[in-house]
Amino acid sequence: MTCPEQPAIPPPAAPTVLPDRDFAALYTAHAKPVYYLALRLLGDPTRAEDAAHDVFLKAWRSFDRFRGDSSVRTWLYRITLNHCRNLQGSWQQHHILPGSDNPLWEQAADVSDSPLQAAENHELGERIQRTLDALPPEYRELLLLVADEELSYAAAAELTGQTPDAVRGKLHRARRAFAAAFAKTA
Amino acid sequence: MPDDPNLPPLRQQQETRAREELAARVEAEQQTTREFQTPEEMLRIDAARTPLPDSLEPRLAESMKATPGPKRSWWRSWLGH
Repeated sequence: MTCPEQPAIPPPAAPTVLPDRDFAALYTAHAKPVYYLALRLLGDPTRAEDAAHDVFLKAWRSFDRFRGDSSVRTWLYRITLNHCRNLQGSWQQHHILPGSDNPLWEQAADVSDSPLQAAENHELGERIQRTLDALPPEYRELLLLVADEELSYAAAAELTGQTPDAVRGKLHRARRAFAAAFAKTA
Repeated sequence: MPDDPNLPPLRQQQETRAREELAARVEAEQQTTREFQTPEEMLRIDAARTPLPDSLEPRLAESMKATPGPKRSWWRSWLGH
């Protein structure tokens, strides 16, 4: 229930060491999701921290060129995806994974449609990482983007260069591939 | 379940302890094992549990001080000013 007569009290600003107040607000709102996306794309906390640092520094440099055509989250995710794809480029040349159109994933996807069961402990993150590492990059990116409730299907589609309908179709296959790969990490 | 009064005291204690251990184990499993309807739900939990490194913000602050910033305030650009 809301009480219109009571003035809204803004939450206290978190202490920050960043030299620009507006950018500090942006960092506070988006640093965690940006870091998490980088962490699960790169699979290494140190590389993810480096990537998040570089992403925010790029955002800082181009702050004046951000036109607001997309949400700030979408803009930051685009920088993150491009940055991580560049970092992974040389890695993937040496570690070829089957693409999402490979029949292997269709077979694996038949394994399970049931809910995922897992212990909610420190091993969960490791199992998730091993699962994501086993998926085609397209499925990995799609699941991570759609998992962010602040991002619409349209934004996820834009970031992955697809139509929203294509995203829905691929998401169904990505979920089943994830479930099959996750079961193997037990 | 109440203790059987016909059992000797030591046996009663052992059975009580075994029941308590079993109950504690079941309770612990119920607390930690969780069912996720979709991978996204699992990823959201994982994201919420993943801490941001403390060193990131001061490191970024140092880099920002050494980097030319935007020419205009971002919100001015955003509003088309």
